[in-house]
Amino acid sequence: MTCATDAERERFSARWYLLAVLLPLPISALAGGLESLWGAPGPTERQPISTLGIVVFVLVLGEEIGWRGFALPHLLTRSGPWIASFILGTLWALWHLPLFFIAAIPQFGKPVSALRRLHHRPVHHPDVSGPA
Amino acid sequence: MTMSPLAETARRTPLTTFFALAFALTWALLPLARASIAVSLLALFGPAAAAVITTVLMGGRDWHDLRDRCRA
Repeated sequence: MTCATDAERERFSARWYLLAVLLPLPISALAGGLESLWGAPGPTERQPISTLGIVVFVLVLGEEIGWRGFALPHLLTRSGPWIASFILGTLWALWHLPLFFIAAIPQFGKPVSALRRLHHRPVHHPDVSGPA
Repeated sequence: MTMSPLAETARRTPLTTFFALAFALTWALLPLARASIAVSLLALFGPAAAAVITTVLMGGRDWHDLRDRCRA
């Protein structure tokens, strides 16, 4: 699921794809390193890939129908891509905040994991506009 | 034809309606997450459900845009 129109896909240059693919790596490494420094178990030790993990991954993609499929295009009709991404990223992070405080949820007890979320929003091609 | 207050709000302020629904639908389920992992998984559908509900409340005028932007 991409949540982008054909026109948008054509207008993305390769450097944005490269940035979207590579940027999460150093941010995740930084977050994982900080967590390790604070005594948390390593990512693979803590969360081996499982069927449940795959299911969660698919469901997380389902979020994007709302964030990128609905909210971002509407935000882009009233502000530029950086402001729209900042607003959406802030509300997106706030939406996730309670997950870090509920023991039954995988994010519980991983405060630095929130850093990984930072890569999630701000990349949006400046030329891409919202729906008319 | 008269619109419901919620539909009228959605048409006037779609973004506010979307975010309010996304937060409400998800956060309302979180206290029940301790009972079952299925509940926390269901809560992840809050934003998607909010997008669909808001689009329907707006009269479905953005339905094709939403579908086109989210196809696999």
